[in-house]
Amino acid sequence: MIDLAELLKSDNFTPFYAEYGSPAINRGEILRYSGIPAYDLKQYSKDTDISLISALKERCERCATKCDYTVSLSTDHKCPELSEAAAVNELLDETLNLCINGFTYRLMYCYVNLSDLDKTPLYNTFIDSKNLSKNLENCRGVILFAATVGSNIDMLIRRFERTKPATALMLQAIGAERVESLCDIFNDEVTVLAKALSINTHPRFSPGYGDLDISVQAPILNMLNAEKRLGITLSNSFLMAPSKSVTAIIGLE
Amino acid sequence: MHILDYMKDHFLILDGGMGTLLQESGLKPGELPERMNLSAPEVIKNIHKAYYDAGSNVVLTNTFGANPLKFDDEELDKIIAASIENARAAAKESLSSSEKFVALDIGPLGKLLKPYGDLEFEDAVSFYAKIVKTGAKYNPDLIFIETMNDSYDTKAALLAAKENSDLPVFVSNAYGSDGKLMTGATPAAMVAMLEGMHADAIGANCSLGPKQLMGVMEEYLEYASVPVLIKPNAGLPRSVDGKTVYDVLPEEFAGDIEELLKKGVRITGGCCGTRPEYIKAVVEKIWTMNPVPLVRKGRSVVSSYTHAVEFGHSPILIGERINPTGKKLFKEALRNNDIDYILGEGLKQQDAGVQLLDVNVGLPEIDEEKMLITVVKELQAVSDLPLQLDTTDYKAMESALRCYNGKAMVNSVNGKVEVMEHVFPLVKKYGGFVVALTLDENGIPEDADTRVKIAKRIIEKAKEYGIDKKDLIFDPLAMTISADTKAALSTLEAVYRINTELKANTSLGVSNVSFGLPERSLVTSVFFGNALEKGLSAAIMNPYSQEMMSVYYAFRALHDMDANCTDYIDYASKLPAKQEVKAQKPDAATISSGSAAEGLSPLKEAVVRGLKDKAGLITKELLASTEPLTIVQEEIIPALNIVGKGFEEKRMFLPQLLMAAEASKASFEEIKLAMAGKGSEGPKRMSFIIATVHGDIHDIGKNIVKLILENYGFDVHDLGKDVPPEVIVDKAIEIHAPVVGLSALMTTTVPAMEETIKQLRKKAPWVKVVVGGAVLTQEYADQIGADKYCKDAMDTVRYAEEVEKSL
Repeated sequence: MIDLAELLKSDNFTPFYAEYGSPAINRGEILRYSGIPAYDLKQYSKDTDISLISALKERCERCATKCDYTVSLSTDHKCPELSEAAAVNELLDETLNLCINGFTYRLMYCYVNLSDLDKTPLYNTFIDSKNLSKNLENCRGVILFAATVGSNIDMLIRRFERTKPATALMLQAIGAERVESLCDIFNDEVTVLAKALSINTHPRFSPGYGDLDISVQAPILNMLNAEKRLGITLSNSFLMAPSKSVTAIIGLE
Repeated sequence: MHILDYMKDHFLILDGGMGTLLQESGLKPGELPERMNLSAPEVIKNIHKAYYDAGSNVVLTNTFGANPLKFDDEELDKIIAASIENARAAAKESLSSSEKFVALDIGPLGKLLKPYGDLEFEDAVSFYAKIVKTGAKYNPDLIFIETMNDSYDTKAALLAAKENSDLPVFVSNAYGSDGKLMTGATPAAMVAMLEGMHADAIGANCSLGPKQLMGVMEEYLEYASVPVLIKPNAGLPRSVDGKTVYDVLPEEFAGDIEELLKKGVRITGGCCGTRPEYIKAVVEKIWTMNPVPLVRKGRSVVSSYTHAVEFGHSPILIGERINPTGKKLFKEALRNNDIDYILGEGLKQQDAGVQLLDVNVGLPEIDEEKMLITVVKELQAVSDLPLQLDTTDYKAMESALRCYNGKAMVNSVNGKVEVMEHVFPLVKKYGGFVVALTLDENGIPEDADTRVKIAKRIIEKAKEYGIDKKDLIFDPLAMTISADTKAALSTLEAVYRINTELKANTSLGVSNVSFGLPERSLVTSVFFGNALEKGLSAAIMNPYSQEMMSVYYAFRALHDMDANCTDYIDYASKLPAKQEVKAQKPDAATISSGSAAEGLSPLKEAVVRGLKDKAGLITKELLASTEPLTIVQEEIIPALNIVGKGFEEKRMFLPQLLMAAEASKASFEEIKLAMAGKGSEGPKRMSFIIATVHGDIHDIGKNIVKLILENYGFDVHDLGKDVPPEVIVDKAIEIHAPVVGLSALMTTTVPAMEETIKQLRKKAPWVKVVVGGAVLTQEYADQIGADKYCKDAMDTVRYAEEVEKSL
């Protein structure tokens, strides 16, 4: 989808649009965002990416009661160790059903040659940030991008936070996982294409990391034409709406 | 020539893209293009001229982002004046023989409105009003509101344009590839709202190429009676040899536009990536074509911020439960400002299958206008159903119509001239679909004939205000048969005659028919079926009545309104079969025997596991034999403690804590019902005020803490988010609250927290202040003078218990 060689040549920091299909669902990440710490997920399994079902299976097999794990996954199962976790798993399934078709996976990106950085409104903020400067050490340029999975999830969260707070929490977690997965897809694509051109990509960096203030999202969104093309707006306190949106910087070395 | 006259029998050709051309002329990234009206007027004028030369009838001023959020008043005035001057100069210089007009261009403010963003609707209206007033001074030919990707924002802009000028207004929205606005509105919903507010032309621009917008345009043409416009992008940009090119070239673009014009679109131009040569190609392609004549569609439609609901086909169910009449708990909720209760009623009805919600919050002792505004805003934040605004207070009606995000249903007018003279002007201004009761100065007629006559009079009167019959729905009034056994027959006849003779929609508040009789739902549901048979378009009804819902689904299946009987079968499969009800009991018993080994009672176990339905069911059973308070103290609180302890020891996590909270809430609801039946209220625990501080709109954390505190029985007063210090202080004094909990997510709002604490110390020195939220730490809390920092909800419960003990 992305033509990186062309992108590196593009003039005027022109922003480009990309749209993706639904990325694979990472249940481990969703659970982590919902407040189940990673170390506890790892207790189920070393791989946080694994679905809770298989994690539970493993845990059941280790359990002294030696019950059948297929039964143990239903909420009627009596195992005190597992019943609550199984209920969480069910909640996650129900919530996914509710929201998964409402996502869109859209982003805008552009290339900025660092020798042209002074021609952009990002210059001062980028130079002043020690953490970003370190991240971009040896880089010739950066890809700026803004990604969003849309506002449907925000409406669902609104709807459920008053009546079904546990569902609302799961929706929050799913939305966070969705937009991160969208960023990952894009980032991975860039990394692969860059490698083919013998370019290294640096870990992506977002406003709000370290000393890079979130107010820099304003010029980034502006340069990417993200309000017009993606409907991303900023609040007075520089938070994005739709809330499940990300702005980020990928350094190219 | 006036533009509206010109449009009557001509296509109207707009201009193409501006942004790319400005960049080529030296606009730097991050620079505000509107300033070029002043700094480089020649450049702007030449772009406009190139479009006029190519055959555009209308150019849009270079004022997309010229708004009070970006410019101060003086600069805004200068920019707008210069922009119109530049366009006028271009028109004068262009040698093209076409009719030429100048449109004042208005783009979105770039801020999302509440509830999803932080801009107040009325603030948005006043920002747009400033642009309109400034622009109108310099006499453009029309106002062009464009690239709006939110329905509420669009309403604010159109309202401002209509209130502050007499200029024609075109409104264009930006649709995504899913055919909806970013915030969810479908074309049909936008058509309903914008036509209701009398936009002169409506349509779509930007975001996609003409091919991708074909579906959106077809929906516009299907619903709209006003001219439809399209101003698409030249497809998507890509980079070739370092140059940005768009993937749709002029010839292909013109071909696509030709196809759209053949379908009925009358106004066209281009957006991002299009240049004068695109406009030229379009003009050359269509110069022999004539516009498709406008047709009045006559469709009766209401809308929410996401979708339209049409009357006149399948019957529409309007939920009647948001109404205090005869409901003790609802009245209490209104008096206590318990918005959550009211929202709950709305969502429950939505789950039960209604397509609209009637909203009546009138109670003599409350400020109805204020309450109606609050409820409308809160309801449209949680539910996407269109609302029926039900009030006799005209001020409340106007305020609610104003802040409603869509085209509302209005309840009601009647044959009394005085009432029509109040309501119709409001409908004319804000749009609306009006319930018209067939009664007049002489009361409710007994016979059908007089009711039909009144309906005719109402149609005539509405016409004087430019309100079409399609925007009226007649309620010929269901009266109880316990007083007059002929009553139902007259009503049914009136429904039939209004439907067939006047070709108008009808609605009934069906429940009235059975007033005073036993087993009311039997009579009501049969009457409902009879009325549907006579052509009833809608009913205001109780969706919790299984009889009513059964009639509705069966009627639709019988009248070919339900393909393959899908909806009916789905409905039937969810009916609580009698056997299943019995099966529930042994199930509960199994739980109790099974759990005995673990030492947990059935209710405790249901709460700990977060099984909401079971918790409610078991509580109901227990209430037959156990005192409500005993259940709370011996079952629910100990169960919550198990979960709370698990959470504190990190064996259980946030999802489980919340699920248990939901389950115990289901339990509490049963207990509340039982106690309300006995007229007794349980002892309340200490009151606790909670709020997200001023400037902060993040309330996820606050809501979780509130929920858990309520679970533990605390009397929580939730003041919401973005709450000014004074409001918190006043409430603390009013209820003499021992504790105030403040939440903040952002470092930028911590000063507001500090200020709130300062004011509390001065005016309510007894108050203990507990703070929490993502940015807070113990150190921060100490710095701003809080009594306590709590890291999570359970921590807050423990602190509240501590304070309560010390009282």
